[in-house]
Amino acid sequence: MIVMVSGNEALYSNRFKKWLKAKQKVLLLGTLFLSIFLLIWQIIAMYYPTKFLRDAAPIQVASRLIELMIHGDWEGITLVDHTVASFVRVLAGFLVACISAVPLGILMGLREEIYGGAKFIIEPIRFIPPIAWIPLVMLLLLGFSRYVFLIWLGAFFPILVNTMAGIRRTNPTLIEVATTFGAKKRQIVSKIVIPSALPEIFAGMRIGLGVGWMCIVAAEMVGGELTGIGKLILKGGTLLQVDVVIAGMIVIGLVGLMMDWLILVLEKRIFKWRREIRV
Amino acid sequence: MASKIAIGKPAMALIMAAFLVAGIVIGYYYAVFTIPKPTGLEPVRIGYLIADVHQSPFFIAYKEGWYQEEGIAPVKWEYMNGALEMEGLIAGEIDAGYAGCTPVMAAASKGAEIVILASSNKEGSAIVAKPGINNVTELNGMRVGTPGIGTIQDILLGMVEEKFDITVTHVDYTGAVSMLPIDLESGVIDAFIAWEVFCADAVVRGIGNVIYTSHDILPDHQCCVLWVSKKLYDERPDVVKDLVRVHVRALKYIQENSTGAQEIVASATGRTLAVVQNAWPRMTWGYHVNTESMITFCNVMIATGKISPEDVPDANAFVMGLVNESVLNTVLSEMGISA
Repeated sequence: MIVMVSGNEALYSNRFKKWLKAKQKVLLLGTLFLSIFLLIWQIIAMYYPTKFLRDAAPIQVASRLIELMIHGDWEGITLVDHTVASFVRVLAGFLVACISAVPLGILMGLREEIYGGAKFIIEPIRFIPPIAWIPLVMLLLLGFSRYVFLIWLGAFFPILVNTMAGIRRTNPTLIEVATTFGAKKRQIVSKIVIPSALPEIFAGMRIGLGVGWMCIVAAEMVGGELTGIGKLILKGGTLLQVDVVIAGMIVIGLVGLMMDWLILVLEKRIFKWRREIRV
Repeated sequence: MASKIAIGKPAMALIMAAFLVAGIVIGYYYAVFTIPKPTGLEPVRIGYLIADVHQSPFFIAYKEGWYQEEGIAPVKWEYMNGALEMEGLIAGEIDAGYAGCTPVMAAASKGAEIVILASSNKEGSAIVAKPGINNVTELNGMRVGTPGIGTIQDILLGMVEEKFDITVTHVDYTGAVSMLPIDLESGVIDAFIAWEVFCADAVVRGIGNVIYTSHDILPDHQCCVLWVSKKLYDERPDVVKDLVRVHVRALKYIQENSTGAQEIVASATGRTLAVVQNAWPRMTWGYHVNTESMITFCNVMIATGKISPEDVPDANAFVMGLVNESVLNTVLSEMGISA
C-alpha cells in the first residue's frame, strides 16, 4: 500500500514536472507581462495629475480587495456576497438567453422565411444597448427579473446569430450523403445539422456570456438591491473611491474568466474530435 | 464523418446536467436570499440615495435600530438618483423613501401616487470654484457644471446669474454628479454647483473652494424630503405614523447631538469624517417642509419643460396637494416637540 502511494506520488511528480516544463515559457511570459502591467499601473497611479488616482495603486487595490472580502463595504456587505449576487444574476440571464436563442436560431437557420419575417423586429433591437432599456425595464419589471432581462438582452443576440450561422454553414455534402442513404429530414436535422452547428453555438455562448458580464453594471444600476458587483462599482464611483471601483472590475474579470473556462471545459469534453479547442 | 461529429447521449446528458446545476443554483439563491424572512415586524421598503448625507435621518435611524423599536422592519433599497427612486415607487418596488423634492414633484406631475410627509434637510448645496476664483461675479463667461437641467442646483445657479447679472455656461452632468470634482480638478469646468457632500469632498481634497452656498441664494430652501406612497398612506396610517415618529426622533438627535450624528453618517455612508464635518454646516435640519421654495422650484421646472404645464397648471395648488404634514403635526404634538 505504501509502495503504491509512493508510486502514485512519483507519477504525479513526474507529470507535474513535465507540465511545468511544457508551460515554462508561458509561465515566464505571463509573469513578465503581469509585472509590466502592474508597473505601468503603479506609475499611472503615482504620477498621473489627478488626486483621485492616489488610492488606486496596485497595493492599495489589493488591500481594499482583502478588506472587502473580510469586513465588507461600509454597509457590511462582503465581496463574496456581491460576487454571488452578480454571478447568479448573470447565470440566470445567460441561461434564459441560451434556452431562448438556441432553438430560435435553429429554427431561423433552417427556415429562411421565418428569419425573413422576424428580422425587421430582431435586427433593429440587436443594436439597442442594454443601458437604453433601463427606464423601460424599471417600469415593466420588478426585482430579479430586471437583471435577468438586461443580461438576457446582452447575451441573446450573439448566441442567436452564431446559432443561425452554424446551422446555415452545415456541409451540404453531409446532407447529400445522408439523403442518399435515405435519412429523413428530422434525422438530418438532429444527426447532422445541429451537431455540426454546435461548435458555433458554443462560440456564441462564450461571446454571449462575455456580453452578459458587460451588462451587469448597467443591470445593477436599475434595481434598489444593495448587493452586486455592479452596485459596488457604482457606489465606489459615487464615493470617488477608485480602489473600490478597480477591485470590482477585477472581480468581474476573474469570475467572467472562470465561467468562460467552464464552458471551454464542457466544450472540450463534448467535442473531443475537435483539435482546435484548448482549455 | 457524420458519426464523428454527432454528439452522443453522454455529451447531451452533460449539457443537460450543466443547465440543471445552473437552474438549481439560481433557484436556491432566489429562495434563500431574495425572499424576506418573517420577523413579526411590519416590513416597509424604504428607498434612499447612495451615501447621500442629505438623508442622514434615515442612516441614523437605521443604524440606531429605531425602525425596529417602532415596529417596522426596514428593507433598504438604494438608488443612484432621485429619478430612479421615483421609478422604483411607480413600479411598486418601494413603499417610502428619502429623495430631493424636485424628482418627487416631477414624478407626482406624471401621476405618481405620492405624499410628502416631512422635511429631511434644507439647503445643503454650494458653488465650488477652482483655486483663484473667490467671488461669484468672477464666474461670468465661465463653465459651471450642474447635476442636470431642472435640478434644484441648476435652478439655484440660474438665480445667481440673475442676482449678479452674469452669464455662465451650464455644463450638464446628468447622472454623473460624482464627476464634477474630477472635472473641476482637470480643468474641464471652472466651477460646479452640487449638493453635499460633493462640495465638501472637493474642498477636503484641496481641489476647490466654496464661494457661494445655497443659503446665500435662497435661504431655508427645501432639499430632501420624507415621502410615502399614497397606497401606504391610505391603507396603513399606523405604519405611516411610525415612520414619521422614527424620522422625528432622528431629526431631534441630529439637532441635539451634531457630533454623534456626523460620526454615524460618516460610518454609514462610507464618507470620511472630515468630509461629513466639512459639509455639515451647510445643511439645516427642520421638521417642516418649505413649500414656498418648492413652489419656486416647481415654476422653474415648468418653465424649463421638466414639468408640463398641462400636468401642473397651478404650481401652488400642486405643491400644497403634494405635501401633507398632518401626521407630522400629530407626532410632534405627541412627542411634545414644538417646531
